[in-house]
Amino acid sequence: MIKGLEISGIRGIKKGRLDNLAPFTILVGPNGAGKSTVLDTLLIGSCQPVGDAVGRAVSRRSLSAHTARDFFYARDTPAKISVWGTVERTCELTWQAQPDQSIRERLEYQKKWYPFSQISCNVVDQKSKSQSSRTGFGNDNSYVYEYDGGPVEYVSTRLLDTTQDLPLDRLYSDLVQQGRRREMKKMLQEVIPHLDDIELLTDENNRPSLFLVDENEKAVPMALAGDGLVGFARLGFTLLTRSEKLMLIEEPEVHQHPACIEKTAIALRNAVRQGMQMVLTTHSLDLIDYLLDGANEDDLGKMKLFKLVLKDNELLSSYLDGPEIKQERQTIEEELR
Amino acid sequence: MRFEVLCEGYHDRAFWKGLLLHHGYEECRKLDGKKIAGGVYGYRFKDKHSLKVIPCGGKPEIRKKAIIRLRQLDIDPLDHLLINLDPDSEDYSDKPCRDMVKGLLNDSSRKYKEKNGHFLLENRGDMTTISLVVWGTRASGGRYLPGQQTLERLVCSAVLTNYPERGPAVGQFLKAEPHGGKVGPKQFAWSYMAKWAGDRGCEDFFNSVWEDPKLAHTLENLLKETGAWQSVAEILPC
Repeated sequence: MIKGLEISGIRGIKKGRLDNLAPFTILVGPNGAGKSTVLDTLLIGSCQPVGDAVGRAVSRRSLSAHTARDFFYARDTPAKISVWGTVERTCELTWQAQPDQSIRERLEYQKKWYPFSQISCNVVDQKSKSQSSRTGFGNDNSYVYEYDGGPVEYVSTRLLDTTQDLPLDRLYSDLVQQGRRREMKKMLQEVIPHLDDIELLTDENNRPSLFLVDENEKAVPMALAGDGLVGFARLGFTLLTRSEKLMLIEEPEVHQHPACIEKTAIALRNAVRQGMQMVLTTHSLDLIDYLLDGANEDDLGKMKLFKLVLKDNELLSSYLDGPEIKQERQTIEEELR
Repeated sequence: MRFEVLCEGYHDRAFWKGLLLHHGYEECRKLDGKKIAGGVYGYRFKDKHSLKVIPCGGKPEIRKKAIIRLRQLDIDPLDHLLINLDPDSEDYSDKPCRDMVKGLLNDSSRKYKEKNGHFLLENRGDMTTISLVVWGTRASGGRYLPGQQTLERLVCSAVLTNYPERGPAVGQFLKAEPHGGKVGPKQFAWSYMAKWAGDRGCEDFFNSVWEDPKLAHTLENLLKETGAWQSVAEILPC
């Protein structure tokens, strides 16, 4: 389990530290408080290969072009991430406008758009094993990476953004292969009352697509069933099939109806009960209420809610333990409403 | 300036409401751009002071709430935190309450200094003052006042001072109770309240005592006698 992290020089965070992370950590705070950056740094700080994690952290914010340079608080100053817990690692990241030759060649081979740039990351773990990675970015934030050095200690980590993760058909295939189809169907039926089945169909070009079939045999592409439902399905598919030890989730409630948020809370809680460490960001009081409503003493003991604030570019936080979250619901409401 | 008062219950909250409105504060539903939620009451004095009165639901809950509030000072700074307690003892003493505050400050791992009865905490370059307000009165009221030192004793004492004929009437009324149940601070308060604030309810009784100039004057004097006013005055507009 990851118990804490220290960040310096990433995005808007000049420095910051979060201590005593719990098996189920909830991050709240206003927009721009640094919640998503905490998830990105946990991904880079804990998982392997680091170059891929850096690529994912940068490319998932693709609203503007060439965002690798904005990953740093100051481009000419290296950023640093330290995490501790079951693994202890320190990562130093630097940005360069001109990628190394091998990275540039790969970007050119893949016909990525100029301008290119590169983020290099050196990781050292507690046993002094190190790995150097280089992640090259095209103008559209797509990336390639390479690394050298031996394997370093890591935690299998996944960063889940329910609005833009793996395609549903791919996730569904994993689900079926792992024998969890009925479980997922039951979960979906609780939020789609007339759902009879889920089918993976192909179009005229043999491209797979996931369909919801109702009691009248009417099939609707899941992608058209609404963003909230797609997000819920993506979360459900992922939690049922993945074996990662650390799951980082960006606002799982996005676009969801309160009934769907309730099922999301159940899915999240069950994943933690099965041993997954969860760190999620949220702006939803409904989600927090549902998480508290169904929580037993053991669940509460595993929960911690951090309120984050960015003050003069320093990440500041204050936490509530599980039972305190219940007690302080009113002040949480003030924060979120 | 940002102030907060942690009090035990709704009657304390009502008493604070009367006190604050009497001293120039105005009620508000939003502070610092955030809606006041739950049982918290919000007040503002011009654009200078904002204040929240937070009922915690008893002494142990105040302790828990204060520990959490101290933890939050980094992200939500405060100029002054008042911790408001009933000593519940027969004699007036703020020592047990003071010890409780020291205990929770020690538990919070925050460094503090004591100055003129207040606790001063340095917080990222700013200063937060923690003060104690302990209800009760040193006035002797004999059988016409509750024995326990509480908000009820303070209020009943002020009423008795200004309307002494009410004392024997209350004594007689309580004595005549057919079931002979225990007579505690609440029973005294409800009896002093009878008729005068009957249609406004008990909470309004604790609030409306500040609307009577004679009672307000006496209450201030009683609080000055115990030293509690020294802390109250810290959050009042000059």
